[in-house]
Amino acid sequence: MRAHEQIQLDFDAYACGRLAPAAARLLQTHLATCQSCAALWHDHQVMYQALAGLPLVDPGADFVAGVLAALPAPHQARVPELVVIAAIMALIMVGGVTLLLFKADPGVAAPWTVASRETLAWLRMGQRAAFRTGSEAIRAMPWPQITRSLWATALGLAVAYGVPAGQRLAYARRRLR
Amino acid sequence: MLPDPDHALVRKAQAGDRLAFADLVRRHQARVYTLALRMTADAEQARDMAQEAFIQVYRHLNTFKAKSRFTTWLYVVARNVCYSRHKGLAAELRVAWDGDGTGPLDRIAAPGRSPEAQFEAGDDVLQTAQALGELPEKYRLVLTLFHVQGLGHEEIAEVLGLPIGTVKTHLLRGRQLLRVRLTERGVVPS
Repeated sequence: MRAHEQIQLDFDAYACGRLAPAAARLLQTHLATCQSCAALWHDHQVMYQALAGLPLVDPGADFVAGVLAALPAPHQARVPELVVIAAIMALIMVGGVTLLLFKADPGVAAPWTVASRETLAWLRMGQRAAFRTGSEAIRAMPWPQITRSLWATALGLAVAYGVPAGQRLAYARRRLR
Repeated sequence: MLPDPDHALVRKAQAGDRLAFADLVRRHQARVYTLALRMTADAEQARDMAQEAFIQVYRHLNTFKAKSRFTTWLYVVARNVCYSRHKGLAAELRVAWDGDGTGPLDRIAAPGRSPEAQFEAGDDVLQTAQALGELPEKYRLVLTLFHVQGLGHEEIAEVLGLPIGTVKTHLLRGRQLLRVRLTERGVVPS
């Protein structure tokens, strides 16, 4: 029984010419002597012919255009991602520099109160420009890049505001002593 | 293994050449769509799945390392897309024959003839396609991949995640069952 099954399992390879010569000779010898396998081989040849008539089905003329239209944008995400991170970091740094611009002196009032109006105006212009660039770039970005940018922003915020916040705390403690 | 004619296009597409990717889609759109049609029995769903398969291929193109044929990898992606979109359906899908001469497989019949004429004339190709669609999915898929798509046993085993012995058995049993169905329809003599 197993010999019959093995012969039958070799039908496909034999039909396609992929069966090894020794196995092909064995199959031919078996088919010449076994009526049931020979009948089965005939049936399979009929099916091969029937199935060979089945063509591939075309999905339509506009299929390729539909696929191309749905593809993600090609590698543009890197540029807006870097622009966004740079813009947000610039925004953070400008805000942080505002606090650190003037040297703390225990004998005078808190440093941010002595900043000149002109200097602050320049700093605010820089912040607005950085914010505008960042928001335009964010709108052009896919969501995965936005997520990464937010993590980078959180890290930048922690660094940029953590440092001046620590300095303000130290200054306040010195004044209290 | 003979060199894969798709590898050159794949390399260009991996480098960002969208025209090369469009050529790949053009070359294999019929294969993927036919496979999806055999799995879903719905022309619109099959088209969506075929499109999604190519989009997934594009997204993960850089993971294809050219160690196997591109068509094998493409079929694996297409199969995964079809299975993931058909969670919850019965494992054995059957082609729904509307009974009025139209159906998702009427496009494979001779062009220029109305579906009704094809049905009445007993078009053998259409009858074979219908009978194939009535088979259990495990037989339908392997028969399609082997006889229609022209894949070998090893490739089919890789695409469907089956042992080669199982692929051979499914082909054997599938053809036997198909012959019974075609004999009932009067397409082949008993």
